[in-house]
Amino acid sequence: MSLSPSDPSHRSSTLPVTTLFIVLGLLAWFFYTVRGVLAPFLMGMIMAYLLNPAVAYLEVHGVRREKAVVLLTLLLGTVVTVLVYFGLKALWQEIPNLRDDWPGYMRQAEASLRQIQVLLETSWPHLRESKYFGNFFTGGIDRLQNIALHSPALMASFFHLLVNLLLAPFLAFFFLQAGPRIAQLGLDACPGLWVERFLNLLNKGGQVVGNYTRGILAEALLVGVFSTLGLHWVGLNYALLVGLSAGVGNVVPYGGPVVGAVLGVIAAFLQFSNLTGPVQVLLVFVVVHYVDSYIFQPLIMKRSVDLDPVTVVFALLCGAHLGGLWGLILAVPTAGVIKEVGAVFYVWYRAERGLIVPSKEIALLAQKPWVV
Amino acid sequence: MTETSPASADFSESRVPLWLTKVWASADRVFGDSGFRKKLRFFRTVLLFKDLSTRDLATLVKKTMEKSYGPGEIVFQEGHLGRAFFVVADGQVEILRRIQVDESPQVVARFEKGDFFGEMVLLDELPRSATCRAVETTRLHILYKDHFDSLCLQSPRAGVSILHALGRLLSARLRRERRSLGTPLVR
Repeated sequence: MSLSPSDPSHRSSTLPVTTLFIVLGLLAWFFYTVRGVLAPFLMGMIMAYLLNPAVAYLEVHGVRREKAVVLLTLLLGTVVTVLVYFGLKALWQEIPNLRDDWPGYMRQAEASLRQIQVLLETSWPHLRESKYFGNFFTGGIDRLQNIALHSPALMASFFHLLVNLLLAPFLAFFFLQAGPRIAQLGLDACPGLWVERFLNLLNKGGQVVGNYTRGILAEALLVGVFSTLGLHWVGLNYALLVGLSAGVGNVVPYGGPVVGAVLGVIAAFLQFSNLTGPVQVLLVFVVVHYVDSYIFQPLIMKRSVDLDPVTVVFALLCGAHLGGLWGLILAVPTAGVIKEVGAVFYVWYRAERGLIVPSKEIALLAQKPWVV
Repeated sequence: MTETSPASADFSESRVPLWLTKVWASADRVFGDSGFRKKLRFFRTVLLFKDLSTRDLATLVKKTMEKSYGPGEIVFQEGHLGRAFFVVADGQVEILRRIQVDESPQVVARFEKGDFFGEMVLLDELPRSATCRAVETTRLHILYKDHFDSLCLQSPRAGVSILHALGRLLSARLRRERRSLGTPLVR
């Protein structure tokens, strides 16, 4: 049952659906076109999501939002400075060691390559005649180093990352200040009849993104810590660097152990020059993967996105195809939001066709006389 | 009833030295949010929330949003899924329902400043039983159901307090309906 169709307010129930889809489509196209510059904004939004509960806590205690954000920024600035000075000092100590040890490792790698070359040439003597085969092994390591250290693309990527890392906290500050105002603007622009749907979509989407962001970062931290401890236990020299890379790599689902295992196996091969070291490192990451899959993920991620592994892998492939690294990072929360939005639309559809009714038990109980 | 900021209320409830209260009062002048305090005082007058602790009330109020409706604008429509609870901040709304299937909807209730409606949403997730329309330019405070649910999980005492008040209200309405229909009550 609804108001008569001649009622002017009735029109608003169908018009906004078309408008909403056109606006969403245009927005999606626009963001896809400018995806190259979105990285710092996304990082800023992620930081704002993480910090929002602390701002909300201060607000509930009567502090104005603008001042709560300033207070929190000052506090975090201090904490980060202290962390960089004391906590990351160990990491900075490893980098000069790595720089000193690098030529030795390269010589070791060159020798290993030479052994492989000799082995291959003994087995297949005709390979000796191939010019390309000889060139591949002679100076191969030097060429790889040159590509890695003097590639303009690599330097540009590093510069971009640095700019993004510096820009993200500033953007997070503004997102934190303006967050509720943006939501309020959306609500003000929303036709009256669509308010509850707008709130439903806003909150379901926000819940998925917020829970996922907090969950994945907590999981990344745990994977990083456990990997570092495991690698330290097997005696790898750069346990902290490799462990940290595994933690950062875990921002992409299933990525942490893979990144960690690749880097760890290379580091172990260079350090130990045998097979036992790399195998031990590989075992560490197999254990980390299983602990992550069966303990961390069910504990941390169960409330964030309820997606089966096939959907996660499909979303990751689509994300990588459409947006590269950022596509990989954003694939799962986007799939989660799409799923939630679909569920919300389905429930509305059912409700408006009178398909949502009280449960059988409640309906049976409601038939009994009312006793006071 | 006057409402202090949530934290200063905590101070006034405990035995805190006078100098600390003064320091806190100064900090409150610098950092405090007078608009939020005004909103808290308003919500304290709403029947469902009058027994909440100051902190629970502040948490709840922080979760609400505001929206202005023009005269004649529909707030929600019968048959649509309800997801929010409304408190009238300013203005007036009317509730419309068809008494007979072939009749046009009739006004069955009007709500003004301080009144609330759509409270059944806090109990179940079923379609709306009536249509609500703004009579004049109206400002409503909106509490989304999931935010209410999260408050109940976060502070069960607040949840019990609100649901008790809601239960008493529903019971009173049922008794009134029964009396108006003349049906004897089973005792």
